[in-house]
Amino acid sequence: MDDTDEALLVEDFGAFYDRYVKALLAYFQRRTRDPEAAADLTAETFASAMVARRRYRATSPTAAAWLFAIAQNKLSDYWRRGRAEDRMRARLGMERLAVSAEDAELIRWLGEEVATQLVDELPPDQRDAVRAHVLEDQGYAEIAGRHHLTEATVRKRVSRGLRVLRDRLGGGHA
Amino acid sequence: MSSDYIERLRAELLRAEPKPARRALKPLAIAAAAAAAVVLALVTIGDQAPDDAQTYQLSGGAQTARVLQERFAAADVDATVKVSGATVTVLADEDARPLLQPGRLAIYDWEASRIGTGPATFEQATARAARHGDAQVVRSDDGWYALAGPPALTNADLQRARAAEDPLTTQPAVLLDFTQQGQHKFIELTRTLAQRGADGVQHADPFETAQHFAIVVDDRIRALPFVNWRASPDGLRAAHISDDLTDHTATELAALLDSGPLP
Repeated sequence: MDDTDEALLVEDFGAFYDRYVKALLAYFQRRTRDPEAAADLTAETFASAMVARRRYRATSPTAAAWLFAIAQNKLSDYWRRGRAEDRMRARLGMERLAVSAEDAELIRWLGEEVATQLVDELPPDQRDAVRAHVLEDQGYAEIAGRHHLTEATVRKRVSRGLRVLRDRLGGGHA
Repeated sequence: MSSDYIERLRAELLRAEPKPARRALKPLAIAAAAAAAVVLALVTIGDQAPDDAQTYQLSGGAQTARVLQERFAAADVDATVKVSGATVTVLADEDARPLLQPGRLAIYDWEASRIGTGPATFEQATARAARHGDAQVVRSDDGWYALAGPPALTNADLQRARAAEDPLTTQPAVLLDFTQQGQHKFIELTRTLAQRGADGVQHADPFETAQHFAIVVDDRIRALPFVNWRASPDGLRAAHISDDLTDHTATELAALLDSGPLP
């Protein structure tokens, strides 16, 4: 079977989840510093992606960028409300999962240790691009302008860096 | 580490995975044909009213009927519209109900307009609004809010509303095209939001300090987009509503807004 992100998103959501769940937990943990919120936001983001995935077209940004665009909306909504919304989970009839002390420890570890460490181990051009775009939320155009690169080059470095991180985080094929 | 959270969430997601099912799209009527139709004392839309038709009555005259006619045609709803004096009678099924709303659009600076903090009951929001002369009470999925007016943009700034897709997520959406003046107002509004979000926090997470604008249709907040001040320091050029819409409800909402508000 085609194992690109785009194919897995539509045909094997479990495998798509496996690839990105740790990166998403780390993303939310780094921003909220709250493992329960990170868990809720991750669940809500995947629930939204699952509902929406049949509309995804390969002509859109990459499936990973699409997933993180949903994540950004959830994060902004979280800061506005002071809590993670549960609309999509409610629509799907999903139960809210309790976050144990061990779960919280895992999420903190993903967010505060592993991601930073793995990013630091990337080749310098990918490391700087991933750090600026993913960890500091700088736009592609902004990074390109600052480092005198084309936007396409920055996108390529971020994409390659994220792929390496995903593989190192164990997001293999299900 | 003994956490099984990732496995439990995976199992819960796959358990809840919806079966693929798509509602068949109704063919869209041609808006131009609707605009060309002339409303006199009696207007009939579609071949006939559906068998399970209900009767709806609104106050208004020929102008109200003309707006409703445009909405029904754009949303492909069979309906019969009659005007008698100052009353408009609509014979249609349940699909017509959302199109009978006033259709008033208002876009607010969310943080600057909101009166009080957090959601409230309807009574509390009404009390908050009463302390401001031109405030509007609106509902969201988490409660009621009072927004101090005037809004930054209204129907007068809207040139067109059309059902389409969210450009990024490909979800059903209603795209709002503004008039030239409306475009200037919208850029100004979102530039102000970007600047306020960035004030004094250049190294902060833009999602934590992002400011929002509220797109309100009648008494309901239909979208609360944020402005990412780092990505869009000069504001935004386009607005769309994509929260919780289906193809069907996006078509309805576009028809509601594109026809203009009821008089």
